[in-house]
Amino acid sequence: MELENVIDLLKSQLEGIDHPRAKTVLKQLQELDLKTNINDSLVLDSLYYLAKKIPILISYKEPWRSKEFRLFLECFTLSDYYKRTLNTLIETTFKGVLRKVKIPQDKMIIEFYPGSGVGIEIISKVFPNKLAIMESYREDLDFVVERLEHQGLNVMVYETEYKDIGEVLSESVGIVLIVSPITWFYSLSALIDKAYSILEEGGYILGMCLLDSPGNILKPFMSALGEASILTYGNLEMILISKYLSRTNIKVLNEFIIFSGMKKW
Amino acid sequence: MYISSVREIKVKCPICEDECSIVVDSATLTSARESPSGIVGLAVPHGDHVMIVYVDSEGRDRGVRVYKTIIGEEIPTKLLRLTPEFLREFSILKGFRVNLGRRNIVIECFNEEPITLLHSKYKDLSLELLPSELNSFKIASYWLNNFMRELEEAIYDIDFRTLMKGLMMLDSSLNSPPKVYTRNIFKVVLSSKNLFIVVDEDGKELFTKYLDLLPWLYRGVVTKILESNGTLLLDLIKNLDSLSTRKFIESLLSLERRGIVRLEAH
Repeated sequence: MELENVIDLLKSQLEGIDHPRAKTVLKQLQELDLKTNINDSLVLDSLYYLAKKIPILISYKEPWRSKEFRLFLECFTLSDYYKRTLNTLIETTFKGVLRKVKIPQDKMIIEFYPGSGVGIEIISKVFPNKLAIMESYREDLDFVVERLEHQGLNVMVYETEYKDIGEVLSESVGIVLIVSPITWFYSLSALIDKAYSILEEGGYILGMCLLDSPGNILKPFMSALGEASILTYGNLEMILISKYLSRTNIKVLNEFIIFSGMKKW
Repeated sequence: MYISSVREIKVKCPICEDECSIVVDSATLTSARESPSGIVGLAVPHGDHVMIVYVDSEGRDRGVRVYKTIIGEEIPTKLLRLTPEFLREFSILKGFRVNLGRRNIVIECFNEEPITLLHSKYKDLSLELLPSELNSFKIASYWLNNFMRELEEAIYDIDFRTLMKGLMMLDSSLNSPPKVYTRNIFKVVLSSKNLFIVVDEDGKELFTKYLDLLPWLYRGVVTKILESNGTLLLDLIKNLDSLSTRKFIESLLSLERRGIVRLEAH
């Protein structure tokens, strides 16, 4: 499978669709200026599958809650490409030369809308803290809990929307993760706001969002599904500055911007 | 004192011509005596049909009939007793009695004395169980109540085979801590005679590329399901014991959750 095959399929699928988003995405594809190639077979296969399903998904009200998106998401997030990006995010936040960060063990790590759960799984290997996930959609909850339990992770589940998480939390929070593809369909600014409000002082927000760039192959796919958060470096920087986070770290990495910040003492 | 065996009847199934011996115990005679019709049915499941031998209070053979579904069919007695051999398919249960209320039938099966430890009532349905061992009464009650709710929901969809499959699922669940992702297991099994498996070929193609990264899934079972496009679910699980049925249904739900398989009602 080559990236060109994926793009060709997406283009031909969109040409047959009468939907406002299809036109926008076709324009994005015309302007696509690929600087790098993605060689990871799981990423290419998952995108090829998504391209096949676009005609159905584009008509759904919330395509990111569909079973088809769940299958795509699992394959995509299990790829080395995605896991490498997550590992880089964790390393740049906590393992730099001048960053001897310690998160007290009694502080919980929570992931918002965890998707497949790969994010919380990876961070659990770095910190021994109590783990939690927040998800409001029942089927997505079944999906992620299936994985986490079989991975032997003991995870607290908050079945709620992010807006209400502050009311149901029973523990103090040391890290909030906003990294799964499901979060790309929420307002990142609102998610960061909520994360900030539940964090203890000295706690961290770790995030990963899509980079708004003509060279980003993920952008047309997520635009077709109605994404809410594809940002430029500048946009993201503004968001983080406005939240009064300290020790902020923003880095463009392939198709993503990875970022972190600490709630001031 | 309980007398386990009173007499033995030899019968031949009119459909499959399978010959078998049925032990008539004192509890059967008591049931016949207390039954308004004066007889009790001893049921012997034979794959896709069930042979019922009617016995009176003296233990005499009063006729043999074969039924396809039992539940919903015209049968002359409300109480059916399954021969204890049926319990070989179960791992924890040593006996059960299920009263289907508005469907006007009681089905029971006991290895020893017909005593029960766990009881549950839901609307007009009741279920009594005799488990050989329980790790936690709380866990067992969770599954039992869950089963009863789903049974009530599916009360007009079930037949004898799917009811027994449902009880097998309950049997394999009683000692397992509840998981959110197993909440639909009873619903699927109880409706399995109406559900056909539809495999999405695109989903199957993608899934098989990363299946190795999900080591908790039963690979053999997953492969079997993926090769069963268009097959009736009950046909796939009918010959499985309780633990294998549970593995099968859990795998099926994992695939269904990812849109690789759809369960279509007919």
